[in-house]
Amino acid sequence: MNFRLIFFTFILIFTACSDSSSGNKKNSFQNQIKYAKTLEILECGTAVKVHIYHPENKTIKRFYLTPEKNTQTPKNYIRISTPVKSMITLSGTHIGMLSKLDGLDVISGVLDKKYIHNLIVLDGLKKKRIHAFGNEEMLRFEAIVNSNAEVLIYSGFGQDFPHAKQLEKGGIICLSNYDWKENHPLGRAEWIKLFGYLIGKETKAKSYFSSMVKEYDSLKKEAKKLTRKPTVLSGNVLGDFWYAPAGESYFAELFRDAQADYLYDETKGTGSVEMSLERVLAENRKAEFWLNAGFSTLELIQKSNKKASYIEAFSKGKTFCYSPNMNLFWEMSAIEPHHVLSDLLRILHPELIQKNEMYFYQKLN
Amino acid sequence: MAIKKRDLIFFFTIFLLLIGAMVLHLFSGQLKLTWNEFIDSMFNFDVKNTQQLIAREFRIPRLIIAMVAGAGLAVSGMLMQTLFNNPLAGPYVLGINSGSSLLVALSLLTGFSFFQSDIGIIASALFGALIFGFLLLGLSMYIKSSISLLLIGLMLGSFTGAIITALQAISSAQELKAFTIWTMGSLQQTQFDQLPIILLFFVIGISMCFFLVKPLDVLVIGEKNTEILGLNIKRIRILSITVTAILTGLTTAFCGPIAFVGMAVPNLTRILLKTQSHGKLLLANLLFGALFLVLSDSIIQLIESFIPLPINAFTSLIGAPLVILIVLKRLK
Repeated sequence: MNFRLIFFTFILIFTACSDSSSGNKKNSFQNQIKYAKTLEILECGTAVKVHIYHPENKTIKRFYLTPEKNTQTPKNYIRISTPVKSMITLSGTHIGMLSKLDGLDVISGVLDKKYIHNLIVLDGLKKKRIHAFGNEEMLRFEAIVNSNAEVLIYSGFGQDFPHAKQLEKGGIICLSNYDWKENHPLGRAEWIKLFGYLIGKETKAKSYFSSMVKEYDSLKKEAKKLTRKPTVLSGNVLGDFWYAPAGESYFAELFRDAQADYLYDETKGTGSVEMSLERVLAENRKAEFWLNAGFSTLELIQKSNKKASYIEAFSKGKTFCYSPNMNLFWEMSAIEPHHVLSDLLRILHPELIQKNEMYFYQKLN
Repeated sequence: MAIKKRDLIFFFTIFLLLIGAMVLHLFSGQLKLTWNEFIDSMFNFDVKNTQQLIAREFRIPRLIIAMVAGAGLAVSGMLMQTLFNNPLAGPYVLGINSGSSLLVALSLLTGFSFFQSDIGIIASALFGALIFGFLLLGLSMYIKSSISLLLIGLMLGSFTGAIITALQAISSAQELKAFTIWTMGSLQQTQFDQLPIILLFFVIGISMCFFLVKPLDVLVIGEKNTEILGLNIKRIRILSITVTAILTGLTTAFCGPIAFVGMAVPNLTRILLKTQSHGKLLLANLLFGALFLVLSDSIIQLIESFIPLPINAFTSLIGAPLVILIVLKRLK
């Protein structure tokens, strides 16, 4: 009897999952993430530990994903039973990621339909299979509780989701998504793996991600051969300030990979840099291209920013933006960074990309 | 209006400070400019020259609109404080700004193209300020308590805020964006070509004020005495509200809502001048209002690389403690 007990204890010790640092790779939690900085997914058999890092204060939210009913949840972890069957997604990027996994059927709630592009989701809203909960400032929390969703995923903007504790009491686990704070476009796209693990399609997620990385890297490699770097201005004015992607943001990385000469390439931060309109004009008046101006026509840009016409890229018709199809861009650009890169190369280096159509961007008229 | 030597020194000092602040403002931006570039930008403008472009399209209009907005809001505040006999009155607190915001919101969010043009936005802002001004005036005939009137002003602000929020919820993303940008307010969007119309409206508003100087002096001693002296109170009220609507609407249309200047500056001038003479107060508010906003905007430009602050946040940062001081002073 004692011998049996010792034997099973021995087996348990050597087969149980441990951190990858212990050296036993087969039975240890292996990190599945390569590019993302705010996400860590540790997998061991059917058990998955998800660590979501707050981009500013580096605090960690820990989740334990498992299909097993009888396993114990590690200390300080929130348990999520997989596969999740019902999910509320509060950002277009989540819809894009789930669509790549053919997992839109798990969506039970979204924000307002005016922010949605996906036809399946729009149809779900029409048929009331999917509920719309308003906009982020005015969410209908009682309706969320009543929705019987298992998980709610929201874009983290620094603070915890409002009423997260009450929602968790109602059985809805809130997960923050910091994909927009990633400083590499591939890091942003890598969040698809989280969705894959949540809905039980992790193999599909990994497979899509690796093939997309190959395409991205191939475009980047081709672009590296180019010697000319066109000057690029990005962003637009909002109130008193011009907001442009900061040097450590994923968009700055896209500009680098597209061989663009972006003036604020070396600024700090993963979000935006704020500058006066005067400074931006003084420094970028002669920029060859103006990208991401935030409006769908030149007339609308001029209305919002009366001094836009002094930017040469505006007056010479070299202003491009994804705004004509804004919802499509926000849904799919995070998960298709290779298409964003392709569009940027098509705009900046037409000699490299021969085709006329672009995935997201349009020349503004 | 006899001007004492002390007052003369005060006005001269404020005038000199304003000149100094104007020079500081003109040279506060990130790009270094010379006097010659300013002069050339006015009389020998070459659009290809970036320095001249910055001078003509950024520095000069920004300075002028800061002066117009500061002076206009301060004078509006002075008129409201005398008319409602309340030191806490001002176009922002009384909800006159809210009237402008509501009409601009309706214009921008309803999609009629006329209302989305420059003239449409100015007309909407002026009309909104007029409607709310006269609404308050009508209510003031029945409500004698100045605190109640201020509360009504605050409620009007909340009410219009709620309508605007509802409008935002049903508007398209592009319309919503245009309105959100407008509400953020800015002194940077004014163009050189717009200066004549801005100055025209400003001069009209201020000129009308000069007709109000004596009646307002009399109004301070009470409405009954004003009538005994043969002045038409109704006309004084209508003219005061019209001037306030023009000056507030003009500022709101070009800069968005700017808080506290209209309340804080008139109180400061009253404290400094220790007078109820509206001739002196008008001049003081014109100079001090312009000085306050020009100096605030210069500081914003100087600290921009360290802390980017919108103009509205900066005026609230200075204005709010000032108002608390005024309230505490009155309680003593």
